[in-house]
Amino acid sequence: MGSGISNGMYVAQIGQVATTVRPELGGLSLVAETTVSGGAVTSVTFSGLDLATDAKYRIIMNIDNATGNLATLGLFYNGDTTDTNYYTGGIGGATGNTAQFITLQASMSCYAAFDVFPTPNIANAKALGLVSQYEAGTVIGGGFSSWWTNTANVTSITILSTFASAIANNSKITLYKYVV
Amino acid sequence: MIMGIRLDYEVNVKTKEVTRKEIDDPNWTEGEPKPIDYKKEYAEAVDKQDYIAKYLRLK
Repeated sequence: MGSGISNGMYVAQIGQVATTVRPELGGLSLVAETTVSGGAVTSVTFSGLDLATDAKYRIIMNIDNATGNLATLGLFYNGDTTDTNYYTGGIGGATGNTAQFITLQASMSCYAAFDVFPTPNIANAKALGLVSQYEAGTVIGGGFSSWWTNTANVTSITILSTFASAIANNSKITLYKYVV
Repeated sequence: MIMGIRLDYEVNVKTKEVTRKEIDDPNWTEGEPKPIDYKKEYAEAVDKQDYIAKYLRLK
């Protein structure tokens, strides 16, 4: 029985169970940060990814709706933009056969933070996080979770709007991976 | 109505290359899935809190 620091690793023993904590190694590592430039776009894609190797991503979106129309945003993988290949649920809510996570009102802003990950024995990419939208007098927030029907390794992530050029210029999207 | 062609902003995290390009995506059609007029629905809802709960998929 005992505990202590050895080679930078803190080891605490509780009965027969040893727990190892490596505080100097854990955290988020920036993969890419981008600010949309050159005008509004319909989608933003991060390519060159490898979820099987990186294990888990966190994607943070700070997006304005550039249009005066409703614009629904969805989270897609590997260029599979068939909406019905995804299932989505809100906090404690019903599941929908869609990749959509928010419907932005005209000229409203959206902030969202999602983790994207497989689970230990089921390769399908899943997402979990929070999403919100803002305008004067109206603030909406909620949870988001989704599941991709495909078991392929995620090599790209796309945020896609149902309305053309709704992701405004200067919208910022940041991608991290977890380091363990 | 725009069908098929969407403007994509791609960041390749390996090469750090950023490109703006039009993608011919047969799965994408502007306005599909049909957006819901939440403001209109909210205005017409008798029970506002119940509507918000459904909107947020809390029930």
